[in-house]
Amino acid sequence: MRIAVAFKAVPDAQDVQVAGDRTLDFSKAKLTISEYDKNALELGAQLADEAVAITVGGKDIDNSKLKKDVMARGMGHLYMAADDALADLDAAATAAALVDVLAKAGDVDAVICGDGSADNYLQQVDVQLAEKLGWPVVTAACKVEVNGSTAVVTRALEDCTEVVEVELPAVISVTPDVAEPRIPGMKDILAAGKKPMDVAGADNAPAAALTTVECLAPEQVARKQEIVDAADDGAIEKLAAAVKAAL
Amino acid sequence: MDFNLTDEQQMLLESVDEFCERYFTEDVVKKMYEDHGMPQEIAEAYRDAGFGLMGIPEEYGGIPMDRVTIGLMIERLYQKSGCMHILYQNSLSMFDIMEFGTEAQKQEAMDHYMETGWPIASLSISEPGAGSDNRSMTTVAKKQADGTYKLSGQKTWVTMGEKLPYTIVVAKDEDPSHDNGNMSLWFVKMDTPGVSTAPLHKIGQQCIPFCEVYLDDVVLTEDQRMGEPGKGFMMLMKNFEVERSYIVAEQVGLAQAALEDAAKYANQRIAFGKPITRLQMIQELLADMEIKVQNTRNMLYKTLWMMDNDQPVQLESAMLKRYGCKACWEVADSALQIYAGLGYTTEVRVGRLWADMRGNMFGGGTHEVMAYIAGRQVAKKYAE
Amino acid sequence: MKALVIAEHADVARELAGGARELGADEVSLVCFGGAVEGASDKVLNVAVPAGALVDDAAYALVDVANAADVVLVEATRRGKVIAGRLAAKLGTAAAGATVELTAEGGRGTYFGGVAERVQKSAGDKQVYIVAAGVCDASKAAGAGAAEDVAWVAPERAAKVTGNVERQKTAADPTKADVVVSAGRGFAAEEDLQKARDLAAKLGGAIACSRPLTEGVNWLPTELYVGVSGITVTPKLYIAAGISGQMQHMVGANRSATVIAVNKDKNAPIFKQCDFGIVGDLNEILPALTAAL
Repeated sequence: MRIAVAFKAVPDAQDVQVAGDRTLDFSKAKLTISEYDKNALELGAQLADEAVAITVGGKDIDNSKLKKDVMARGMGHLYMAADDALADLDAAATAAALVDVLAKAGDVDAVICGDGSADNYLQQVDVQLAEKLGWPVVTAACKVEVNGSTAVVTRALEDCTEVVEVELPAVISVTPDVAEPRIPGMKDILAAGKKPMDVAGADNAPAAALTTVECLAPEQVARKQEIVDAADDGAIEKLAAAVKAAL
Repeated sequence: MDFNLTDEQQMLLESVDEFCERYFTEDVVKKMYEDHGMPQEIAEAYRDAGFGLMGIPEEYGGIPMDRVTIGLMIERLYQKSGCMHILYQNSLSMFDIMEFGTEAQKQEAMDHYMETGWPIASLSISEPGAGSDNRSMTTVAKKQADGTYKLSGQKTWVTMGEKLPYTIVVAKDEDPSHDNGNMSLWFVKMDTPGVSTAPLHKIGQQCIPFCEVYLDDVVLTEDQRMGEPGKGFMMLMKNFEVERSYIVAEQVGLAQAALEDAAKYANQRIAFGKPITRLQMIQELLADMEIKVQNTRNMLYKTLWMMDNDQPVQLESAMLKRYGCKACWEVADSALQIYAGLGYTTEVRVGRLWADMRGNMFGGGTHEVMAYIAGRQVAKKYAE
Repeated sequence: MKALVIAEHADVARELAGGARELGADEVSLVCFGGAVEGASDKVLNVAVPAGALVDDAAYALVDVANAADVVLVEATRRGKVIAGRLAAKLGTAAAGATVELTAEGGRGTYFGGVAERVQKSAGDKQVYIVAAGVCDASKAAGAGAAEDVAWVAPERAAKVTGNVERQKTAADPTKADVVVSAGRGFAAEEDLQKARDLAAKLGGAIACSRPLTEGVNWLPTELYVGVSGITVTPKLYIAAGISGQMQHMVGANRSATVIAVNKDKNAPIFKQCDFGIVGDLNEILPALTAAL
């Protein structure tokens, strides 16, 4: 069984700085694999005979360490479109660009996506990609079993747990507890750079479906920040008073 | 000069970070110090990630690796776990087996490691009357009429001696007298008749217990000998240089942890109406701590790089051990000073780091002996 | 202007219908997969989901209605997001998130786990928004609710539901409570959670948690997890016990009127984001507080 895992390269949120005018400064942030995509990579590596990684993004995602990091997580081949025409895409445009990349990756039985990207977390690329491919999509998968050409997927929904059978090929997006990401071992790390990686530019420049009106750090809610130590005299009484005052 | 790390080195360090974050949680570390051990799942995860295979030859399933990268790994492992566990220390005995062991010993050691995640053997070198002064050693192996050997003597400060199935014993050949410098290494199973142990209680490093090992007429066969007869101590000494460096890697990692804790605390701690980092006395402490950590790190990387490039490091490794272990312990001491009363409680880990690191000022050779080794080399270096 | 509202919960459907009115909709059609919603919209569309079909696939039945609408508001549930994504694809756009606010300007959602908030809208003339519970005002919802049946349209390759287990909701809903006692990593053992439950019971509130307690250890169900990929709560009082105060968690809690923090680490970021904080062991503080109230 051959599986493509779609992942996103994002700036490491820990290094994103907020400027005085509340805009975000990404200049110090290194690119990293979006956190929940690591669970998707792990599941892909566990389920597939051959797992390939696919991604699209700006020219900067053609980064040797990032690519090796993906390959060290059980991927056999990387197909990447890195082009500034593909930077900061919305879900519709990302899905369109992924369709082009997937065409180069060859036939796959499934595309696995992560729970949501570290930046947008809108959970839309999986659905848009499935629509464009004409495939079914099953989201919120916390367990995936493959029986021949059928996947049995357990979905963790808000009010229930639903078991779904889906004929492959399909797009399946997974929750973080579907598989714990491996810690890339020394052998995986050394082998990563030797694996095949196809990096190309954009075949098409997808049109933006969304317009960004504003993107600013939220204004901090002013809190009183009255702090006491539990060992201080009357600390619990003060705490109880604070609770009563809030109600 | 290029101080950049390769992609692979950066990825290795990220994996070490993830490993430490996943396994060395506050509660686990606390329990390790109470129980004098380490959870089995940590040993297995460390093995599975291949960290413990670095530096072991490929034909035995190891991952050949340069010493700079191994040093980087050890440093980060101890920085991020923030405690003095066994993981790296005991790999030292694996290196000795790979270096001097017989084919059968090497294979057994690797099989044991892959199966359990623990190294196969402890190292029995020091004696109550002989540490760095190895000639004063009295443990001796005497050949018997039937071709076997009888091993007698007492070893001490044997780290993990009670926990691991074998110990590597260095013993004099035939004659225990001071004049005899011929020694051999022996691969001794702990359950052999005549081998017994008694625990010793440490003031720090409680999760890597050491013990005394008593050897009373232990019968050995020739196939238990490791390496060439008579050259035992010389062989061990060959590995001492790299081992000293790795101890410093451990020490500088722990010093970094103490420094970070202390600096964070100093930023938060208010005295006389302002954070204490605005007080010049504290600023001086922090500046000197950072200098010591950076100096040690630079000396460490340089020494490891020299070894990777087949340059002699008798002087450099001794200077590194002497300077680094002490300077890094001073960093922990200053960190404790910054925490003051709080640092002297078990509420924070700085006191534990301080006690753990104190042990590295003699473990692997006292810094007085390091001065003796380095001093002679310096004199020789500038001799006309 | 015409609006289509799609929800899984009746109370949220009502909110979204109110939101549609605030955007200026003069005709609101509403589909709810979780109970009847009366007097909230001009039309109520009945989509009967056949046995074994995924609610997600209702999107195909709604394509024509969506095409006729100017704006589509979909409740931010996992199924809702699939419906929103499919309709957006059919309308040639992408769904924008409105997890914080929805105005004519666009949908306001969190970005990078709350580092920023971003306002986005469709570049075309059709808008699709994914709207979280609590964002819109249900009181603005009104309408005769004329019923209309919409025929099911099966996709060419439909997935099948073969099993469904309702999650037992043992706990009160924190999104509706006045007091939320939220538990984090500071709880070392599962049985210690009883102390949080006892405090919540005393205050007539609900318990909630941060991600570590639901992912991995599974001490609490996912629907109680507060944060960027979980729920957002807006109580009068939020008591964060053993929660360090990472931004990814706090975005789900910082619209609470009052935040009280209990943490043993005095350097925890939560103490910069609370009104009242107490440094110490939650295992002692929580029972003492419960007793003192």
